[in-house]
Amino acid sequence: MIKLENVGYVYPGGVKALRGVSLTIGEKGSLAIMGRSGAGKTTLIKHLNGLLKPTSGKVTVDGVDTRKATVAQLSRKVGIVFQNPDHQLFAETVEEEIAFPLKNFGFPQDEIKTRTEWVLELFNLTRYRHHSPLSLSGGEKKRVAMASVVSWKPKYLVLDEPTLGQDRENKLRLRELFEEFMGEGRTIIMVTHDVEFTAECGFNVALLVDGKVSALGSAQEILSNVELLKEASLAAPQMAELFLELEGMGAQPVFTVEEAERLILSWLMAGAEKP
Amino acid sequence: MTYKGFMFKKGETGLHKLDPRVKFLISLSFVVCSLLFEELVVLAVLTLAMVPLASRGGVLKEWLSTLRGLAFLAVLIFAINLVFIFFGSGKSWEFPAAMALRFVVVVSSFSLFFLVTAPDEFGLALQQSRIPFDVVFALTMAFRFVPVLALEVQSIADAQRSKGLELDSGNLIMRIKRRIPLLIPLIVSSVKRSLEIAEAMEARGYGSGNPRTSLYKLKFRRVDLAVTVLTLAVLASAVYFRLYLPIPVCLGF
Repeated sequence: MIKLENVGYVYPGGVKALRGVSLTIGEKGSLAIMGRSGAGKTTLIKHLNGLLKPTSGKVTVDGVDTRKATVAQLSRKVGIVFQNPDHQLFAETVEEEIAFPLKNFGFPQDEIKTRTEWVLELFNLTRYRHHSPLSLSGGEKKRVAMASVVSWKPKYLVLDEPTLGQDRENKLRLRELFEEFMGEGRTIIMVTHDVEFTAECGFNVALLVDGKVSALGSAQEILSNVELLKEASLAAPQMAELFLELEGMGAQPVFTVEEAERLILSWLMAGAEKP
Repeated sequence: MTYKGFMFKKGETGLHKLDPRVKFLISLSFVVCSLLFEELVVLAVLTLAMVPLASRGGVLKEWLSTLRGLAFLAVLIFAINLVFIFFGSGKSWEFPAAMALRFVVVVSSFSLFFLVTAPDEFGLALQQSRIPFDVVFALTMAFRFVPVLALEVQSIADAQRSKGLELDSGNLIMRIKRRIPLLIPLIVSSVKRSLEIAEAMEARGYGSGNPRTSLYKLKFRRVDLAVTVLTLAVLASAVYFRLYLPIPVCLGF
């Protein structure tokens, strides 16, 4: 369990990025951290593996105070994929790039091979295995960066804007990965502006406004609350917005494409049955 | 971090408001004076003379951080000069100390200049001194991107440390080797950024061939003139002292 107790963080220049954040992220859980740019989302996730130490309050990962552990020790449990892949890739080949953290953490050679094969397949990267990661497109680089962290199967997987530059197929693969990870008892935490993807994944949502958690709840609760979303400079998923508009005409609230599909089908069926 | 001693700090002080060419002249005078004299007393006076200037400019803390950053190199210069001059020729120990202090004066005078001069203002001064715009632009861009690069190094280090890379353990060779995952992304993203900036500039008409105009023009005020005259007078006196008056040595041996 990751526990943030009244966490405050002030950057050396004096900018107050976090102001008393309290959150408990349980095992086998999921959390989407959402909010406008500059709300403190990236600062918050940097506290989870000890890259930043709170200037007030306390962060514990499975009971270990992040102030008392090194980043490498905490990273074994908390794997963070940062937003900009250009800041992460350096190896000669995609394969080497993925193997880099596995070597750092001292995995045996055959295990490195097995895991590398697994993530290459998982992230649709097998054909690029001998390419330089620097020669790939933006979306592909992002997948290499994700594959590199997923490879060591951290207990808590943290992703900063994972859907940026990803097409529909790769977003679906990502969703499948999340389900697989959560099925194994791992936790997924993502920072995102992608309300549609969050709704589809059905994550819990923490809304961050000016360094404070302004709301915490299920995706359905948070992402259909127009007032709350407005405060965080977000809009409800398109399907939810459409059915909110139709609510006056007697339509029930709908959240995802699948739900809308079911509802519309039932209307059509009812219409067909009418004489 | 030492680079902060070379980063412009906004302010409304008299020093900030001076014409950048005058500020450059002041810094240059410190450098010329430090090269004219090799006596410890004079070099110490030159260093101390910058304290009230930095204080008036509201940048004393940042300027002192430059001095702290220079300490290691200054000690190194002192040690090398001590070995080769003091023990080699039997000259006074003052000479190695003066050489170290000369280095401090040269670097810290430019630190003071950059602390109170905005990069754009500096570029404007060079441009209006008839230096080709391409040269001026390359120079100001280089200065402007120092803090950006510093932030980028931090982001890259964060990403690599999150993948289990230990930067601060092991012997010197190990530590250097472990910095390769930082260097490659930094070089690649810098080159990529420079190409993107060049394309974006060309897309906005850079190099169109028309004579460039300016949004701001530098104005040389009376106070700028007065400070210029004063600086030149001090410089002339320094030359006179050097040529015609004996300078006392520090402790007389």
